[in-house]
Amino acid sequence: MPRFAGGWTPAQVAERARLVLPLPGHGMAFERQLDHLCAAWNAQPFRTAYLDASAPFLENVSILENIWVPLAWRRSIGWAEVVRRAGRYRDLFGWSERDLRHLLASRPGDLPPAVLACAVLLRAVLMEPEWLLIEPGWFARPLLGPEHIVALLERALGCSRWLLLWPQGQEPLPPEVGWHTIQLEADA
Amino acid sequence: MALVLFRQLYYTGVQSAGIVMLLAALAGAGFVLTLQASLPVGVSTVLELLATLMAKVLGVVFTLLVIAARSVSAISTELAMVQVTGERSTLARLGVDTRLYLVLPRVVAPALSGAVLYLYFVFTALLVGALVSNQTFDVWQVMQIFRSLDPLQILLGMSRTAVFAALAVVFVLRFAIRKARRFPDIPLAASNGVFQTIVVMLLLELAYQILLAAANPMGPLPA
Repeated sequence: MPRFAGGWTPAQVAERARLVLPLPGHGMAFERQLDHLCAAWNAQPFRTAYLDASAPFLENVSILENIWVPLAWRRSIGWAEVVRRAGRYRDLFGWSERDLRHLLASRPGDLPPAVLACAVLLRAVLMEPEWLLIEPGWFARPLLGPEHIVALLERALGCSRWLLLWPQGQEPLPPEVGWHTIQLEADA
Repeated sequence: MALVLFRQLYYTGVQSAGIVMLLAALAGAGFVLTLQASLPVGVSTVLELLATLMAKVLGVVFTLLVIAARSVSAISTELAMVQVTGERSTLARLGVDTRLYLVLPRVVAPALSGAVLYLYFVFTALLVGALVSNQTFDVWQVMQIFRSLDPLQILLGMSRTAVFAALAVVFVLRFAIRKARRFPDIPLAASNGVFQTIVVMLLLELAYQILLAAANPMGPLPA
């Protein structure tokens, strides 16, 4: 478990399940921080999902394969199972069965940004994560509008612990969420 | 990973088979016709020379060149694109081991395909060479040419093609693609990748032939 600064125990952190972790640096330095942090989180025994905003999918394969690859890697879930489970979340996004099939069969480049954002969210939901790491782009350059995103996140992943990775000093924080700012120990 | 490997095998192995066989047919026919026109030797000698040259050197070199031109250019472009757009970072952040998912299939597939393509090349070149040389189209007679092939040479050729293809792709991934940071770097990564692959493959083949010559300085014993 990554160690939290200020003497917070994992239980206390779990209570304050909407967390913001300010990360220093910007540009490439910030991206490297994200890489390190995600690697540390993925090395833990709990399930982690990641909401990426900048390049969420491999362009040369379908959305289904894009969703399936991390699920197969982390949770050994088969292709057919992904399709079956995705069907459970149709209503969440207001899709029909046809919409869902079209989304899964499409290449990322063929879809509008708002639908892609939903696909990223669907991938996170299917991971059934205990921790949800959120890239700042989800709120800094909103694909759906911040209120809409928060509402959708609450409905889809309200039970997960959220960790928003936010550039240090950048204000304001995304609205309508009771964020708690935390720090990590240097070796976490 | 298996899915990516199968896909890469299809792109590298199956889709390249036609090109390799076309090149083999041209090389086999050209070699036989040139030799018959320029040297006063019999058909059987020409075909034995063809078999030896194809199995020992040309099969490996031509197959590696096809892999470099067709597969390495595609692999370099694809991986440079994945790197530049940030898709590789995303996969890693999602907990996917990018070396296993992106790199390994693209090293293993050219190696496995290379071994098979080498076989296609040698057999097609010999078949076409035999058809062109005796011009009788007697199938049984044509098939005799395959007897002149040394199974050990074939095995060595397949192994060399596989190992050299894999090493060259690893070299390209290590040195050409990692440098790609921006979109204009992508075509550069592809062209550098192909060039570096060809150089590495030819250097490896050259080193092998030099080692072979050093191990056996008198050449093969007369029959």
